[in-house]
Amino acid sequence: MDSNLNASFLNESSKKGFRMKNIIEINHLVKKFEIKTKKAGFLNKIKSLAKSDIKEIKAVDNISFEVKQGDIIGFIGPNGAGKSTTIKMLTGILFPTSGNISVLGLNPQKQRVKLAYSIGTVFGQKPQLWLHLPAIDTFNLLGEIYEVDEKEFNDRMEKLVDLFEIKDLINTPVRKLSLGQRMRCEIVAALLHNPKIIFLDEPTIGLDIIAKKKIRSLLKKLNEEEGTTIILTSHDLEDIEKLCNQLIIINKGKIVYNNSMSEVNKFLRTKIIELYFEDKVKEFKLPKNAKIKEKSPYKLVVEIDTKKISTTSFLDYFFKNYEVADLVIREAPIEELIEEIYKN
Amino acid sequence: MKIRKYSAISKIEFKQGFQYFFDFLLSAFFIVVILFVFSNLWRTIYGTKATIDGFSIGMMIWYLAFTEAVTMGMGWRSLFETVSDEVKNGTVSNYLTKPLSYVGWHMSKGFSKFVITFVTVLFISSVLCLLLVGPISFSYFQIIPLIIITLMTFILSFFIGMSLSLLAFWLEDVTALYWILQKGLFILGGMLIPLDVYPAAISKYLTYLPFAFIVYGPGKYFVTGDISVFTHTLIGQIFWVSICAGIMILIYKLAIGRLNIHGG
Repeated sequence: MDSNLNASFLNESSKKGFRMKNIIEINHLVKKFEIKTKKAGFLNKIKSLAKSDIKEIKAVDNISFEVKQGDIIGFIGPNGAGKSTTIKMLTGILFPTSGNISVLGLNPQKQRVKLAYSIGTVFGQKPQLWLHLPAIDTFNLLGEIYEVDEKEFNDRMEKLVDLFEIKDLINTPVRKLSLGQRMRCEIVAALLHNPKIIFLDEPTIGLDIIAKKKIRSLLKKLNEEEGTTIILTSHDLEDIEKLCNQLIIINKGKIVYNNSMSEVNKFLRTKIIELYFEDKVKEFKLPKNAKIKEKSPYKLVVEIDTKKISTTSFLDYFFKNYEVADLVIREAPIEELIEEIYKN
Repeated sequence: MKIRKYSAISKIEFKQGFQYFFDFLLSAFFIVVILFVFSNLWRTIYGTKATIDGFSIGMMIWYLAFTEAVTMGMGWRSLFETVSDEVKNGTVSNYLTKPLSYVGWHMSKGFSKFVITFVTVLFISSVLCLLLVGPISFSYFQIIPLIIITLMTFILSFFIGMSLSLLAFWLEDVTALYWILQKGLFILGGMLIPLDVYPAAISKYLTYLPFAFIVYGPGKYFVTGDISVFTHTLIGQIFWVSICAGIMILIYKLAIGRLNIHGG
């Protein structure tokens, strides 16, 4: 394993203390894509064979930020905001149109392979485990790919297998595992070579609440025990709230927020509760600290701050006073958080 | 290039190949139909003739068994479809974040697939050929040269297949190119009929094209054991492998630089 590449970089930061050195630096990063547009209709299709209309899209628009060693950064934004494009530029897969990137003191585009030894990636929707084989086979393969010394690899695997509680799973073909079990194995696969930074792109997508909770606590433990820097993109604001110490919000390619979690915690505590009623309700009386967002005789949408009133006590109130037929609890959408940030 | 990691990829692909070996075996029985149809066809064409352009009917059927085994083993279709899909759905990013070459990854996997398919299809078709036309003369001294040019066949076919598959970075869907390439191999490479049977004016040119060095050359050496066929084939393979490797590396470098993966 090419462990020397950033040893001096990290040693220097260790001497200065944990979380002192910038591990990632991005300056004025821009990424434009050219997309062919096609008009509807047969004639237009024929015309497009000779000349196609090219539309330029600015996926990332002049962003700059820094990440310190040991940080857990939440990187969020609506669909198409530029999150994944940024992550892919940080890992060296995509080439920026302009701007500078430095990850562990390396240029990801010029030194992609060298950098690969020190980073781990989990793309939630793009599994890297071999589906028809047990996870242990992929783990052994990754040990070879990252050129990890055999003893070091076995010790590391044993530690991660214990930490992520997958001892009983690693000899079962991956296709027979549940989504949550598979994701735990995916994360272990990304950590086997002891990366300094791990990029997690939607790691909890499609998981049930228990599996999500498990993944979050394991990531937190990993960060505390090993000081691994984690860059996390997620649509699940609870992932961000429970894990991250810094939040970056990106919208239409621009950074709209880059600060500690405390500033946005109030928003992250907000729950939207939709209530549906058996009978027509003429008038609704709400408990304190609940705000009506939408109402009709059979439906009520309410926003609550869970610090001021818990979801349970809010629901208790409604079950006691009304004939509730059904309910949905969800988080406030990221778009509302962005709107809130713009307002302030 | 560190060979150990690539041999590990081959090993795991080999293991995966055997997970569904029975399914694969059933699909490999397609060769039985082809050989049966062609043996009847050639019987009619040969009539009372002992040879056509130096090939006996036995050699003709064994030639087809060999070229079919090579063609099925090359797995062009799977390569084209896989690269197209990986570019379209962004899975290519799983490889580019690892310290390995995307081309090397597919070559290692392709090698295992080639070995499994080639050996299995050749075994099944050899049994059938023995039943249909009996054995042909084959010397043990042919084995090593045959392994060499068969391996070169894999390398050459992979470089050609990968070069065109990589065009998916521009075109996104390259399955049409696969069909063109496959038909080129059928017609220009002498996959079904040895190039010797073609009119001399055409065949003398075709024997120098890369297609001929994938199927015709190795196939002819398999049934004739002629050392001059071996040397001609090996020299041609080395020449085309060098050219195609250069083209593939160039396309790969250009492709990686213009990779566009939108969204997640």
